[in-house]
Parts: sequence; structure tokens; C-alpha cells
Amino acid sequence: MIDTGNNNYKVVSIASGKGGVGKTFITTNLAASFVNAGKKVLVVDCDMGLANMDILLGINPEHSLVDVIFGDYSVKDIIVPSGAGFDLVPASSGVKEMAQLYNEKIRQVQSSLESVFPEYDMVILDTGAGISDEVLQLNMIAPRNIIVLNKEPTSMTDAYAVIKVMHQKSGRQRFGIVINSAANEKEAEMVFKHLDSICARFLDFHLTYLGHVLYDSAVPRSILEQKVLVKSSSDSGIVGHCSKIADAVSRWQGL
Amino acid sequence: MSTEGLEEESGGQGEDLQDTPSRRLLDILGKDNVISAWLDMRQDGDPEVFIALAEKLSVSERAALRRITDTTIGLRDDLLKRLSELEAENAQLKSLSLRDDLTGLYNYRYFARQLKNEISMSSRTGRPFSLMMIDVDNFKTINDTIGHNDANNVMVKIADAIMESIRNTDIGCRYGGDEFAVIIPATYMHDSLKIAQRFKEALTRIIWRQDEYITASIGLAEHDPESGSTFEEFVNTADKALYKAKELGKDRIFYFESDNWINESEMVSSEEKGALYKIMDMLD
Repeated sequence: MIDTGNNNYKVVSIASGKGGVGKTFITTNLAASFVNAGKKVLVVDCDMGLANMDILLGINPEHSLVDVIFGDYSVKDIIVPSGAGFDLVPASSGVKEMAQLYNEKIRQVQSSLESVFPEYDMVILDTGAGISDEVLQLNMIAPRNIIVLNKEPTSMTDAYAVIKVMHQKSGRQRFGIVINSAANEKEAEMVFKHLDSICARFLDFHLTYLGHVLYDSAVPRSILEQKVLVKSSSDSGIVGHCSKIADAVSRWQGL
Repeated sequence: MSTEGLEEESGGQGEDLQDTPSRRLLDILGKDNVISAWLDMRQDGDPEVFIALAEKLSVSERAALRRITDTTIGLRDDLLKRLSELEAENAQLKSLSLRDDLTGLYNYRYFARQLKNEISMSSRTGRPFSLMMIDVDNFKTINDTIGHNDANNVMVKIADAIMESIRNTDIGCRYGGDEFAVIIPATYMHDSLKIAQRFKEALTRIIWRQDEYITASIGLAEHDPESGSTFEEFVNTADKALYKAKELGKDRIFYFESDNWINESEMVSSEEKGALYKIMDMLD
């Protein structure tokens, strides 16, 4: 079947402030959930400072975004199947200087990326940790931004900082929130409501709750075995959580 | 050629040369006096004998010789004087030299001159340019491990890697010790990054001991024509980027852009932070 492309593709970015909150894990499992729902999905690993998606997926791609940035490759040339049903634009692990990208380069990468978007139903950008101009610009490629955080106050502060910077620099005010590693649903909602109330109070807008993933001992094993959970253990509670998040993202107003 | 009058002027000189090495030399040569020996020696052209004889010429002998030949004879003092003059000239030439002796790259003097030129050019034309500072990682260890000579050879190879990575309009310099600098005229940061990347790749081909290749920390800075920053300020910016590259664990490129990293503590006020941290009480 020849993919004729479409203009109804949806693009979301996933950011987290600082690393270590499971952003990449959420990204891959959310992507797998969309695949399960019959969507054609592209994941772009933009975390060029510490790209680990290929490691998480257990693949070893020959080319990466580095070849788009420094070589003559287009994004189309470097897309690889992830083994979890979605396509992947790999970043380059270990090329740490990639964490910094010149503005002009980001625009070049962006236009190359956007040329392949119409071949997919859903595009997910996994952006770098931290708050730099590069991370912000990569997030700007997506009209909607998902922020992943956990209940740690440092994680909440990082998430809030990302939201505030994106709001102040680009006027964004629609953010979707995913709470990772929650002890239970009630705790996840409490963390969300707290962050939401602070955004309303200081920034004058509300956040959208997209869902949570419970702390689950299956997660570390999945990473160790380099498997995407949604695919590997279909009875895991995480599968249900990620499917719910995928539904919420699909329903997300304006997306 | 007439030697008439020479003997008259040099009369008595033969006595002074009695029992000196030159005297014996004259005996061997079968000459009665230094001048005739010297005149013969000019044809034979053995420089050592020539000088030995020249030293023994008196002032009057030399004056006489000057009259009949076009050659001025220097005494040892004169030769030494000339030698020291040459050395001074060499030192002077060296101080004007623009190249580093070991690597053949431009030296610091040229770097400083050229960078100042580029800064004024950039301010005038409004066109930015870039500066790359390179510090060879762990060069002291390399030097201690493989020795000074081999380490010098490594330096030459690194200089070659710079030359093959840069374009012919770029100016590769030895900044001093194990530091290099490249002035990259009329070039924005993203193209300078390409050059830096190319150089890093070239370094991987320099194996200094089994399975270990040379790495370097690289700091990049782009001169903003609007900034009006001075030579010192601009070098300092590139130096800071270099320091940051080293601080982050070496073997990498780092550059500064204005407002690049947003300081979280500046973004989140203490009031906001205080409110966020209440989550700890709520979850207890």
C-alpha cells in the first residue's frame, strides 16, 4: 500500500524539566499504545544530550539526527522501525555536544522533520531534559506539549519551570500533564491538582490532566530487558494506564 | 702578482711566529711568511688552514693584503663578532616570525594580531566570525607516558589534523603548550561546529598508544558585532566555553549562546517554589 500522506497528523512533544522521571519510558509506551489503537506513529528522539531511546528499545541504528545536523542526510533517510510497531528517528547517544544545537540548525532539522510528518497519524517528540533554548525550540515544533513529572518537589519545580518558560517565551498555555511513578491514582491526582493550582495562581491558566502511570516493579525489568512494556506484557497495569493517556491525548482539545 | 713591498711591511713578523703552531704550519707549507702562505692557501681553499693563517696576520699585513686582493681578512674576534651579529639578526627575525617552530601553525603573535583584525572587521561589516579554542586532553599524561619526543610528534599530528579540518580561509594557531586556536572568519556558529566536529573525528585517527586516540576539549565562541567586545573579552568567552567542555568531562565541544541555559532559580521565584514544595506536607 502506498502511503499517500495526510494533513491530519498530530504532533505532541514530551518534556520533563530535568531527567530521571521516566520521560523516555512514557514516550515509548505511549507510542506503543497509539500503535495498538491502529495509528501509524513516529517517535522523534530529540534528546541529543543523553539519547537513550535506542537503548530502551534495544536497537542500534546506523544513522541518527547527527547525520541530519552535520551530514547530508534527511530525516527520511534515518528513520528506523523500532520493533515496537512505531517508527523512530534516533538521536545519537554519547554525542554530548549535540545537547547544544545552533538555532539555525534546529530550524533545518525542524523542516526536515516536518517533511515526513504527513506520513504518520501521530508524531511524538521526546525532547531533552533541562531547559535550554534548544529544548524549548524543539518543543515549539509541537502545538501541544506534554510534561512528565513525579511527586518529588524537585520534579514538580522543574516541570513548573518548563511550563513557565514556555509560557513566557512563546505564549504557550496548553500543557498536558502525565504523573509518573505514582503510588496510586489518588496521589497522582493530588500532585496534578497542586501543580494546576499553582499555574492558575501565578500564571493564570489551567493544565490538562492526561493521566498517570503507577509505580510498578515491572518497569525496571522492562528497561533491563530492553522491551517496550505495552508490547511485552499485555496484562500489565501499565498497559491500561498508557492506553488511557493515549485516549486522553487523542481527545485533548484542539489536537 | 707582485709581493714586493709586502715583505718590507711584514718585516720582523716572521720572528713573532717562531715556535707557534702557525710557524710549524708555515714550515710544513714551505713558506717563509704568513702572507705568501696565505696567498697560496686562497687557491687551495682549505678553510681551517685559511683561518689559522688569517689569525696570524698583523694589522699591517692585512692592510697590505687588502691593497693587493679584494678580500678582507677577519681576525677571530671579528669572526666572533660577526657570529654574534648573525645570532642577533636571527633572534630578531625569529621575533618577527609568524609560525610556531614545532607545528608550523601560526604562533600566538600572529593569532593576537589576526584576531584583533577580525574583531575590527566584524564590528565594521556587522558580520560575525567564530573562534575555536582547543585543549588536548591529558597531554601531560601523554607526555609522561611516551616521552617528550614522541609527544612532540603527536603535537605535529594534531596540528596536521587541524589543518585538514579547517578551510583555507581559517587561521590555525598554536596558542601555547597543548592549546590551539582557530580563527574562523565570516562564519556562524553552526558552521564552526561542523569544523570542530570534523577536527574531533580527525583526532580519532591519531593513536598515541595501543587503542588510545587523542581527544580534545573544544570551546567555541561567535563574535557578535553588536557586542563591541574587546580582544580580551572575546578570548575570555571562548576560554570559558573551553573550560566548560573540560569541566563536563573533556572530549567534547561546548559553546555559549546568549540566554542559552535558563537558570531555573531565576525562573521560579521563591514564592512559587514555596508553594510547589507544599506537596511534601500534602503527601505525608
